[in-house]
Amino acid sequence: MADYTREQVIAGAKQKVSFDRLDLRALDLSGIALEALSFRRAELDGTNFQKTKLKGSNLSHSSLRESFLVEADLSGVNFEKADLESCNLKGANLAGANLARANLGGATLEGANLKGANLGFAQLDGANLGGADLSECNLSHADLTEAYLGGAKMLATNFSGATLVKVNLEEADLSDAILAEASLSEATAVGAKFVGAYLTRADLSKADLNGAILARADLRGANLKGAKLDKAELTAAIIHGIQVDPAQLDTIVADWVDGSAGGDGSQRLSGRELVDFLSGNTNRGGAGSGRRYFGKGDIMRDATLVFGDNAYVEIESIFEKCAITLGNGAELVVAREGILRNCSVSGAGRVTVHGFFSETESGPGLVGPRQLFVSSKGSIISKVQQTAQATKFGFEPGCRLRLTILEANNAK
Amino acid sequence: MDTNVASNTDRGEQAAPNKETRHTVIEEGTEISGKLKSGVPLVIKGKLDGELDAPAVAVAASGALTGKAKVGKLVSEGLLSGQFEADSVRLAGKVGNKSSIKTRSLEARLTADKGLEVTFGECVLTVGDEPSEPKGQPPPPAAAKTEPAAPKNPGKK
Repeated sequence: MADYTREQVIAGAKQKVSFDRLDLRALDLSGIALEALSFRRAELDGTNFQKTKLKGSNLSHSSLRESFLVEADLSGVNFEKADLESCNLKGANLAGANLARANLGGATLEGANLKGANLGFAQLDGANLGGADLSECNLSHADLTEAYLGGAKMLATNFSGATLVKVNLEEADLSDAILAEASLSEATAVGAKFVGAYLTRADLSKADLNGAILARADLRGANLKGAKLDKAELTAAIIHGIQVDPAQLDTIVADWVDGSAGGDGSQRLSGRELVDFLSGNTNRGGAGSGRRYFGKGDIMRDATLVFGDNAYVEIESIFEKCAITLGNGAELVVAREGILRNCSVSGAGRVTVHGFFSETESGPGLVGPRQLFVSSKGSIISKVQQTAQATKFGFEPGCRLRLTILEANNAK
Repeated sequence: MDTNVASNTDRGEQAAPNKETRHTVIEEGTEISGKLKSGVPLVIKGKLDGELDAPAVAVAASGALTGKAKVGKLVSEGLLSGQFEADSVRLAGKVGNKSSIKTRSLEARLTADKGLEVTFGECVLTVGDEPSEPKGQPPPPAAAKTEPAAPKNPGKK
């Protein structure tokens, strides 16, 4: 039997008492005001909170399994590590709530407002989020396996590193969403909008993207093998390094796509060019045309390396105290496990850092790059002396920087 | 003299950051200097120079924020110049000279669209935890066995 009755809870709420660790299971607390109260580690399984006002309350570590929270006001509530498995949150207001590491497996969140909520590392497998508003939410590393997100609004939502395997995204709006390195294999995303979304190195293998809108999406390094792309709109999408069979693109809709490594629109491709480009891409990695690769496990120390115009250099090994010069249009990629320790890179090339870069003591470590891009896993400790035309910069959320940016010829 | 000011507060018919919450808007053509503390998100289409404390700020392409700001979320397509501290930052537009940005999360896009690019003057970016080397590289090969050290006084028993 519960520790309190409904009337005692109402009276306690007026006196702002703490409900921490209490057993309030299966109580009817519907429609009452319980704002800014503490329910930490409380037992609330099967409790009825329909239309209850819990705004600003603390329910962290509480157990709410199969509780009924339909249309409840839960804005700003702290649900960190709470157990909400199979609970009903249909139409609830969870704007700005903290659901980090919460368990929402199998929960119903249909039409809920989750705008700006933190769901980092949350468990949402099999949850129903149809028509919910998840705009600007943090869902990084969340597990959404087989969740239903049809018609949901996910503008600028952060899904980096999230698991979205077999998720249903039909007609959902993911414009400007961050899906870098997310796993979307076998997802159903028919008619979904990914306009301007970051899908760098995302796994979209066997996904159904028929009729999806991927205009301006950043697909660099994404895996689209076996994905359905019939009538998918890809105008201005950035496709450098994507894994796809050119035949898969026979029925896409695109005025042009961007094949440039830097995603700066400098390599617009259409029609036959696109097919040739993708064929070349697929074959890349063999002995080839200006490509240099330094593999994992190798260590290079105190070396001076000069790479010519338009060379492509990928480093997955450790470089220590090395000085690298890049020719015009050359591209240097520090791979995920690559380490450039106490090094310098100069010249009008493009530098992409997925791994680690630190500069020499004398610095600046980066002199005159045309472009610097640091991905979500990249780390840099350096000064950057820009080119006279100003270096282009790109940073993905998650990157770690200790960066001093200098104007051209003004290094100190 | 510090001036506590807040211009139009509306019901959110305008642009970002959040259409459904109340926010303060500094309209284009409006210039404000002084200290501003706001409990609601702020949209800057004009100019704000001074000290700012707000849960979220969106600087429009026509807007400028100069001075010091401590905010939860900072989104800028206009001019930022000064010292900024935020939980998360999304940048386009321009970051002026002698600026610093300290944040847990920074996003800036490489894009063919000039309007969405960011350009930096001389500035310092402190983003996320301390950068660290990725794990996963195999350990370096073991060093060759060294010869045992020579006795200090050879020949002496």
